[in-house]
Amino acid sequence: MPPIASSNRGKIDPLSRAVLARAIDEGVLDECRSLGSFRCPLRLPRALSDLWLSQAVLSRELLAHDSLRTLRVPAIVASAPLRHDALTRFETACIGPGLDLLESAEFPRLEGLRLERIGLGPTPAARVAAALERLRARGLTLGIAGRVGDVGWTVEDMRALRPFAERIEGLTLESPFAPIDFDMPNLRRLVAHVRSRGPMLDRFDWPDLPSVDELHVFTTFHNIDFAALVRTFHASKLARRLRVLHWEFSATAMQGLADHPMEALEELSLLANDSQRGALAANAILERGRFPRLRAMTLRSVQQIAGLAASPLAAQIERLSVPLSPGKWLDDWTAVRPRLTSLKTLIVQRPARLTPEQRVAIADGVPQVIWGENSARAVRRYFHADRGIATFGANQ
Amino acid sequence: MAASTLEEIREHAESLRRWGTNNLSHQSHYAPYARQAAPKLLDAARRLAPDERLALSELLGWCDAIVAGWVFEHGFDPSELSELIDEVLPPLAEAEPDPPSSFETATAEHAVGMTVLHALSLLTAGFSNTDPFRLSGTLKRGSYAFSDQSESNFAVCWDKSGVVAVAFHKYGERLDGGIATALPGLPTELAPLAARIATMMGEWCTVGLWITRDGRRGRLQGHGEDDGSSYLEALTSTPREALFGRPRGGLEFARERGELARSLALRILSGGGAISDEESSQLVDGTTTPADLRKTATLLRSFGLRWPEVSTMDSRTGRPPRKRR
Repeated sequence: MPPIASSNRGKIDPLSRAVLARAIDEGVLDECRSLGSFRCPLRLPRALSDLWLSQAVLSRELLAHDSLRTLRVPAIVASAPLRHDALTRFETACIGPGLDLLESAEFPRLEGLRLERIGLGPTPAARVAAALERLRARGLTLGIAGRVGDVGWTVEDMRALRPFAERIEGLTLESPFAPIDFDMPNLRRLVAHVRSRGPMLDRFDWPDLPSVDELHVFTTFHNIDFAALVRTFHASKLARRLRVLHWEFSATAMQGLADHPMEALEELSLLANDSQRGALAANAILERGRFPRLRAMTLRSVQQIAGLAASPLAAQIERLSVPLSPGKWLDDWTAVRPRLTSLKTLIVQRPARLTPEQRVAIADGVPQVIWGENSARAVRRYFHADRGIATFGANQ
Repeated sequence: MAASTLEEIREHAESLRRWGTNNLSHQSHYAPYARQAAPKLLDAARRLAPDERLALSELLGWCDAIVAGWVFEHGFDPSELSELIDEVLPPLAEAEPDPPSSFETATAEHAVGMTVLHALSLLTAGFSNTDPFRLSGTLKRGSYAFSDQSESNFAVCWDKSGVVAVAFHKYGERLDGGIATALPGLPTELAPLAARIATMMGEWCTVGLWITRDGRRGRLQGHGEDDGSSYLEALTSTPREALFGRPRGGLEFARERGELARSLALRILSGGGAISDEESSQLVDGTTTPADLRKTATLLRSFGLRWPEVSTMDSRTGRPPRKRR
């Protein structure tokens, strides 16, 4: 009898639209400004300004919601004509009807537009350019899929973006990176997905990438020569100017990131997956890395706390985001805490299992502590039967 | 809304539901059902009044997307369709509602029937009686074990004295004193059933219940989360509540399959009978191999359900012979 398939610990059944609608009707969400949902809600809280839908059929009613300012829908299944007088930010992807809808969209106040998955399917450069021309958003963030075989954008396709170069603020690229032969003076953020599509990937296009302040690199795929990846990264002009670097990885060879100093780096995220290899690499980077201006750091796995304890960087960190959970890792934290002499803001990830006493001990002496709440638990807290609103979530 | 139009829309929507609930990695062989049904549903919807169409607008949006073909691209997930269809096309009123049932009122016979229903719901969904469940015996004496292959397990044993059921989660702890001592107030006549469960799945138990044939009962309650209690709650609830009335975990039950399982379970409880041709075709649709069919038929026979059509089925394809005109 259902449930028969699984009962993952921590898993929570999605909040039903009927329950959400009831919560809205009862005024529980009157102050709600931001809402994320897998599907389009039946009703929207009246003050809602930021709506993030994973996938949706966009109705006229939704697009008529006066207070809406930001709408993010990566997958539009179908939609009424995109028209909103006050929307300032819109995010979608060039899949399904996305591009068709953008070509006739009317968002007169649009300031920011994010368009992902360009080149993944049939997205002619001229049509993308026409849509960007029509929507006068000042800031553009574009995601361009890597070219595989005959599918994907070429150098010529990329040139169609030249007229908008000054408006481009963010780029997401997948390897092999589409070559860009024009300047983007306002480009601030670059997201690079490095992936092998079969054979071992040992050539990297770092030199072809534009210089930016902020770089996010995702290298969680196999068949990548990580040592060469890091070596060529350090040799590129991109690495020298970076102020913010987020790197997600799981390979030991990533410790090469500590081989050369990064003089301008102010913020570093070492997003090692929960694997021994990733943690080893992250700890080696923490131990040997030379980042004289580094002030902010994010660590992803609890194994990295030991690395932070041994790191000379500990004394210069002012803002730290770190996962803390009871057990051995908390002892590691106790060891490293006295060395964080400059710490001003601590963001604790996964704090759910910490006792009040442990929370007090962690917060002691830190000017500002932010407890990062697990979203499933937050949903359960706010919509659980105890609150008299809903009875969902009776997980086994 | 004209009743015939509504019925037509409902019928096509069920095909969409089939695709939505069986879409795995976007390589589903159920996609043709959706491709055929979507344009028909759109055609039927054209006969509706504007406000009626408005009520179905999200479903019609999905149909447009299916006709355009882009929802079959990577990036779209149709698993929400089942919930959407339930919302915009609520199920028809039940002709014969289930009488209320709870732990306090359920009989041992009811718990056994619900156990058989669990097995039937899996059989109609295409699982065979080896994995992930095993049902054996008759209504008078039998056993049932289920594992979700990942985290949760439960087992039920019954005989002329009553029924004992336990469930545990992989994060549960092995019992030192055995299942019999963990179940509060377990009568001595039910102790052999607890021992049988232990031989099936070991001395593991995070929740449990027992009911004697003369109506005494008791249970071991868990901590409310990750303890398998929803399995045991289902054993004493009504069939439809158990099938459709709660968060359903990873496997979404199509209404028609659930109703088939329910009607077979009720038939077993009322003394058995034959499986009709229509029911047979639904069962065959859910079963994978001829060997499975024969095993299923044997199993159902031990619980009083005859399946005449199986004996005439093609041993290679498992399909009924084509009727000659």
